[in-house]
Amino acid sequence: MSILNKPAAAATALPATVRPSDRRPQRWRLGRVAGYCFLVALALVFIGPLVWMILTSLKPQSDVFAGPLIPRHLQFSAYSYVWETLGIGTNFVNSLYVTSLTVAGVVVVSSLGGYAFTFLPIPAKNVVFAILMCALLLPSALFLIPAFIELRDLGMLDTRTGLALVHTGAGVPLAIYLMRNFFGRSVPAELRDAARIDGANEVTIFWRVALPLCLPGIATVAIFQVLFTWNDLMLSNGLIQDKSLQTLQPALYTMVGEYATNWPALCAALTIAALPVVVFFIVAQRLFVSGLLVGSVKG
Amino acid sequence: MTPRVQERAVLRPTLRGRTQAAAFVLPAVILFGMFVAYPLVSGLYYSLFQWPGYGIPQYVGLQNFINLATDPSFLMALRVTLIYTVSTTVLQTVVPMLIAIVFMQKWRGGAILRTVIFIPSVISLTITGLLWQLALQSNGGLIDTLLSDVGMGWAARPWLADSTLVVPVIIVVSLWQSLGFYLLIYYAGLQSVDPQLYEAARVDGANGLGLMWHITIPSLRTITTLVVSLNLINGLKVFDVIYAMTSGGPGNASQSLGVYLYQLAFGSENGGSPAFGYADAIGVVMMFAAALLFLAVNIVRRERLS
Amino acid sequence: MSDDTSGGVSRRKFLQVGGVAAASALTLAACSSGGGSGGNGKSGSKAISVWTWYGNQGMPNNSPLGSEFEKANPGTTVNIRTFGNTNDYSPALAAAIAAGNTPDIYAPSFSAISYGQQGVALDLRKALGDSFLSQFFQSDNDQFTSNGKQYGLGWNAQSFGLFYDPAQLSKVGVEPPETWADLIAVAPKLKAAGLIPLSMSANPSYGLSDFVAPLITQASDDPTLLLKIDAQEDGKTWNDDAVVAALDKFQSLVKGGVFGAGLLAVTYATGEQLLTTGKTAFLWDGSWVPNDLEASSPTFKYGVAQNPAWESGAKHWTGDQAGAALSVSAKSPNLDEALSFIKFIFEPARYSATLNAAQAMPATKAAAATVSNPQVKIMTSWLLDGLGAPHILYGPGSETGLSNACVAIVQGKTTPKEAAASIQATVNEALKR
Repeated sequence: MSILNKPAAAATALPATVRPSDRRPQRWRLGRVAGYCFLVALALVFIGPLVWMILTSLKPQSDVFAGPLIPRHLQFSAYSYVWETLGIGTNFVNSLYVTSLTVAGVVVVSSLGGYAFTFLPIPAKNVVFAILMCALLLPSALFLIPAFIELRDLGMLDTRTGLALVHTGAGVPLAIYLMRNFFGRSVPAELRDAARIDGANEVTIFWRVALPLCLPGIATVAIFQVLFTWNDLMLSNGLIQDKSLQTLQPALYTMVGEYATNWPALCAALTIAALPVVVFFIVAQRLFVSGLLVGSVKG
Repeated sequence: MTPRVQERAVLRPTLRGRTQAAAFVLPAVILFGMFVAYPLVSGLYYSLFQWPGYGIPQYVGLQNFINLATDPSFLMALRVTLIYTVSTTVLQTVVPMLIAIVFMQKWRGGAILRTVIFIPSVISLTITGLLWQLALQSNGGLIDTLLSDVGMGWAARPWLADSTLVVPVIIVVSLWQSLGFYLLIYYAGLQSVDPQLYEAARVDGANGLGLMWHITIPSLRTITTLVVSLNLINGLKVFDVIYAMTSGGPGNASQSLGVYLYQLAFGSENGGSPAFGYADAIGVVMMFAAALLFLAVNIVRRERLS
Repeated sequence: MSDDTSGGVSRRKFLQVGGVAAASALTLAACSSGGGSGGNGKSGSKAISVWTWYGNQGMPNNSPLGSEFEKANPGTTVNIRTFGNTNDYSPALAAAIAAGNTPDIYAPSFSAISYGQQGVALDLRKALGDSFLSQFFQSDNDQFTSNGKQYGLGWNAQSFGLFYDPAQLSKVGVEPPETWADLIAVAPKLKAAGLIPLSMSANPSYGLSDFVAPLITQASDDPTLLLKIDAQEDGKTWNDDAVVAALDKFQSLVKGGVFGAGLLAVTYATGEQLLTTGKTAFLWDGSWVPNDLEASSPTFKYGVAQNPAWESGAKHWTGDQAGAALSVSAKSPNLDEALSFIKFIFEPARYSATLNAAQAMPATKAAAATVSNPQVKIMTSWLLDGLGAPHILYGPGSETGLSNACVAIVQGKTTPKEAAASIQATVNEALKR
């Protein structure tokens, strides 16, 4: 039996961890200090460019490179320009719509499909799976024109739903791969056998037994898909033409000119764009981890 | 689960079972068929043609593939992509794993650190590339300014102008962008490692490093396979961040397969008449290579388990 | 109890399901028909779509040109879609054209002639007539002409020169150089003052080829030579002596220490930043710069000098082709309205006003006479004085080959002759495609 399937010692207690030896306090203090220095440096490296981004959004255009790093006066005109004149708010809502639709679609399709690949009889399972995985490597540059033609023929060109459909389709292969992984290691055979003996059909097993154990898998798929869809530029740019339906990334990118860029405006828009995903991540992370603890209670 | 165990869990292949299987997979198949299979097939199809993306395609059979074999730009792009992929796969698997194991358990501020490290993942690759391009400029770029501020001005280099430095620099930027994401995955994986194993091993006299090597890392095997697979895929496909930072330059020095393909299809690599069919041929080659790699990684894993 | 015993029935069924899905997708696609414009019109009205990336070149998203035309032509809607730059523009345009949804009016980038030959762009000579076309600079017309047919119109012409800060230069005691040798001569003095003598954009790579291409004209004093080399006609190839001489001149600049160490990573945006923050003495750049500086550094005082000449007394040949152009879709369902819009925006008074508002260099001779921005006016005068030389390369592999050769020279990895040969090799490789 795989190690991973043994029930956790105590689901309510924090996982036991490697405890530093208590026998050599001097060395550990030095190690600890060095460790915390490293962590602080790490945090700075990761947050530094973003702090720069926020500071830049508060400067006038001429001061972006000429002036000091921390502006003397803060000006919020870039934010009002971006929100009112450029209407980033609309693009923001469009991105929310497309991303939510896509994530919902991907989660539903991939949990069904991943479950099937793990537990149900699919002929030539591995070959089919490999073909599915092939699609993971299709460069988005080669994806655009066929997707455009298809949406056009379906009459869904220039619609947010059409864009969400394309994203969902593109996200399915990876999501199924992930879900197959998670189903495989989170749902023991005995559980399914037990449920079947109790008279449950496949749908019930899926809904009541397998899915709840797989919440971290779903959270992973959701986080992946949110990142991909929220940050996509090429498909969103090519498949939607109406300015009022345009999503966030293409709108951001219009601020990057061929020769010159309005940095404060771009950074203001970026700050606005990054916020919801960070919030989503913080929320999803808690679900993710707590879902794991739930999942590790067996029997 | 071992393959044998998994088989026991599979539904008997009755008609009812097969119908149910079909129903479960149907949404995926339809979506896949419409939005993935069609572009795949279209790519395969046009790789046999010379086509600028408009007008009448010209059938050339396998000529595109023959040209690829002797195309110095393709070979260079292959080299750049392989170096990038191997480096990022190793770095973006090992570093998040180590940080998760060492720091995410008994050190304070773990949750905050995880969030901070994750924030770069939230910014699109294109914008990440643009920001870093700015930061890495000589004469006033953020990085060189900071280096001289801390007295390390001698370390300043023309980061993106030097053909030997440009790819390593892009690899570092990629690590910056993706560390938070993989760190989260490893952190989650660590939570499900059975603590009783640690107790047992410690009773046997194992110390910190031994515990890590013999218990923690093997327990993360499935997650590691996942992370390695993702890194391989993203590495082979890499386009956005490189294109935004250097457009593949200087010269061809950072032109990955993804960048080369994009420039053939949408850029001026072929002058006024784009080479879409040729770009599709590259796409086909990449897909086959990836499928092989993918199978290899996952077969190895299955063999290790059984 | 393995899957393989599930028998032929379920496998067939599965393949049927998958096959039907894929086949229906393919059938749908096969039913695609050509034609159709990208514009959405209100019911009953005609709509034309205009796609460009000319936000800073006179056609921003909220351009009044659209609404003014609508007022003058009730029943027609104009949808102006302005992208940020060629990176988000090109894939979107390619997808629209591939699906037959070509915008009625669009920026053709490198491909005007190719579009024309494949029936995507309209022959404007036939549609608009010779007298309409005669108002443009000849070079801008030639650039889009093939076999007597013209597939594009210049929207902004361009020329290139040396931008500098007069106060900074007089402090150092240096004048804008007359020839390349003069530039090399003052380089040490500028470096001693902590300045990079010459900066320019090398990313994207066409910046380098924009710089060296006119040198080929300077070396040969023949502005048609580069056009022939680019098209590989008349027996001209990249191994030509003029090419080698131009690359040799470029190498002399490199060896003369004229460029900064980070040259190959400089972009247009950072190049302008080097100028405005006083890090470089001269910025070699194009006539769109005044507009950028107006927005980013309105109080910065700068001057512009001519492209240095080959030697003392020689012509100051400088690049002159239209970097911003417009083509018309050959299959537009609202062709009359589209052509009407073209004539509308090029009406002399309107065109002049539009381009002056954007501090952009016009492509018509009439508007060139009424340029308002002083620096743009100076740069326009060079074209009027006949100093224009081709700088945009359209042939397969030309621009890539030339840029890569320049990179290799900057990095000291090659000789001019080898570099020229490598360009020809790149072109030969590209011609296979």
